[in-house]
Amino acid sequence: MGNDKSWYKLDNAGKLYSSIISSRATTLFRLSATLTTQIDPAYLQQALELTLERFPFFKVQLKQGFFWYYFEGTEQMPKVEKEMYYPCISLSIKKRGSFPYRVYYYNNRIALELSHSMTDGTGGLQFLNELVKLYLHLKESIPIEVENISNEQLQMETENAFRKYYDKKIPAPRTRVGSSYKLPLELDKKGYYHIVTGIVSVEALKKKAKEYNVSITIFLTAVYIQCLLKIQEKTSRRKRPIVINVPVNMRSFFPSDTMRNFFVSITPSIDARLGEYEFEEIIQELNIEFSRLLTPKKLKQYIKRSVISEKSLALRLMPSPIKDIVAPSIYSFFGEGQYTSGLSNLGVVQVPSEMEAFIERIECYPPPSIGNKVKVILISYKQHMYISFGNLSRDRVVEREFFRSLRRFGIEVVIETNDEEN
Amino acid sequence: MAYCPKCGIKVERDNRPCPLCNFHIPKVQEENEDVLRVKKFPKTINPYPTYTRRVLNRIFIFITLLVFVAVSLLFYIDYELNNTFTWSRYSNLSVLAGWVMVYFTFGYVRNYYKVIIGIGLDALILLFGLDMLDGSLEWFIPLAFPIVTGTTVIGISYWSVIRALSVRGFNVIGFLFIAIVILTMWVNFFIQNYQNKTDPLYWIIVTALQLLPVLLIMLYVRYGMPERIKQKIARKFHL
Repeated sequence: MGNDKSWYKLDNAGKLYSSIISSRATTLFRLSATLTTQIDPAYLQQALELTLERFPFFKVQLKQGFFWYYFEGTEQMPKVEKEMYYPCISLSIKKRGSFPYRVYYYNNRIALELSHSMTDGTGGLQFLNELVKLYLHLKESIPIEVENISNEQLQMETENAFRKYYDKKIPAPRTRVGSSYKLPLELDKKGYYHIVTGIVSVEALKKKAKEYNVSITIFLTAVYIQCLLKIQEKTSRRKRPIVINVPVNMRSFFPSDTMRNFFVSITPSIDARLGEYEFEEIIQELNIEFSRLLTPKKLKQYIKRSVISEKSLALRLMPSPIKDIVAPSIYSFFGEGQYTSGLSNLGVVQVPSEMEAFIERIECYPPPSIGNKVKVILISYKQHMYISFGNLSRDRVVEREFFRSLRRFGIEVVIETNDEEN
Repeated sequence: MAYCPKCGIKVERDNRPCPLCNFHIPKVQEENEDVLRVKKFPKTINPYPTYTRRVLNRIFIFITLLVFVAVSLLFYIDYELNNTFTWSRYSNLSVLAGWVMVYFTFGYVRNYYKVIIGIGLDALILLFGLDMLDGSLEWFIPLAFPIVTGTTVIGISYWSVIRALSVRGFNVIGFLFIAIVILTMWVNFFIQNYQNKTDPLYWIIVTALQLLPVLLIMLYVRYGMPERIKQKIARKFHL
């Protein structure tokens, strides 16, 4: 599979993402692991090369076909770089010789920045896990099992799981959210991306969520929606619904080993036009919405919707440069434009105990997007949850409101930002 | 760890503004604690400005070469055909003026005032040349010069007003219309004058008679109209 003529089709989410790439909306998201000691670039490079041997379908570059983009196997080897740009930005993956991801190191941190056209958070975490494992094996000689990867296993890891669970007879869901509230934020200059990470204790969050009898995701979504309602109250006379885009990892509903995109987005919303909402009301509505939608039957409808657009003949016959021109506006109109913001939970990261001692923390940053200038992503590792806001504007109003309300719930928050050194 | 008293959040480093609300977090740690900290982020550089500049430079060099080739070619053809430069002077002057215009629009001059003045001067030179090339100045002095100068002055004033505005929004459009009205009046005046249709004094009276009522009505609506009539209008015309 590693030979230079191998190629892969993109999955349907990847097809969309590859067409909307721009200098701001890079579709890059970051997964990073902070170790206990300084990173050695030579070992990291070696580990990366070994990781690509394990996942040969990552040793690819994005190429433009006549109708669609595709990934083409390459003999080149990506190089690890010392971090020097703002996160998730300043990488044009369409450039010749560029990979759809990059590996950064800075002091104790290994950062993997992946394009969403290639994989989603779960696939990325698997790749990062392997990379860190091999790095620690080389540097700290932690024991690893030598696995023999069969061709079937590789096949399963590259399968298009959307297509696997696609059922022609199922009708697509009919949910048009209509126009939603947009945050009045001004874009910063190109090349800047502001991250604010709040570190909170998982235990405290769990306890608080338990008080309302909901999961942490629902609790934090409710807190987030309440903040956005408050901001809307202050900034806009006309009320609109707050719509949050919450990606759902489909692997937990439909078994698949795929390392490509396999998620759908559900869009819980609170309509501010109906009056003032108490926090309990928001929680209750979200709870109903989540349990109503997160069933295999309903999610199959969402799969149908993801696949159906890719199957339309008119779209398939459209040459890819034209797709590049129309896709961003279609995406902002039917996709991002309908949401106020996005909240994604990558869940709890667990690593084998021999690795755990060397890994201090695991973080992730959301991909920058112009339609939703602020997005938030959650990940838990050991006893902490890392809540990272990605923001294309300098205005910190959302972050401030969010973390202040977490404090009001009695949850301790430690704040870090990438702007500190500049 | 230090706290922001306004947000209630903890931060690693004190004696600096809160990352969320910019409130200055007081110093609470000992001097040497800060030194031990491992930096989490590098001092980042932003590659985009240099990248955009490079692309623009490339385009500009390409255009310059193209202009050079075109100008030489046109002179050559003209000279081959007529043994002297005739029509090529007109086309080449225009091409060169266009090139100067491109220079000003490509961001090599940072100051917008200089850009507006530069483009104005460019237009003046082009028009002067076009009028001059057939031997005598006919329309440059009565038409081209005042119109181009007026446009430049109005452009500069418009830009100054926009810069001074505290609230932009619709004001930008409003002032644009005002600028266009003044400009059209200015242009109209010189064309009418050139055609000898009216004498300037008569023209000014006519224009003033047209504009004054509008001005007075607007002032009256804004300042003089009684509340009762305002209410009535609101009642009759509410949407």
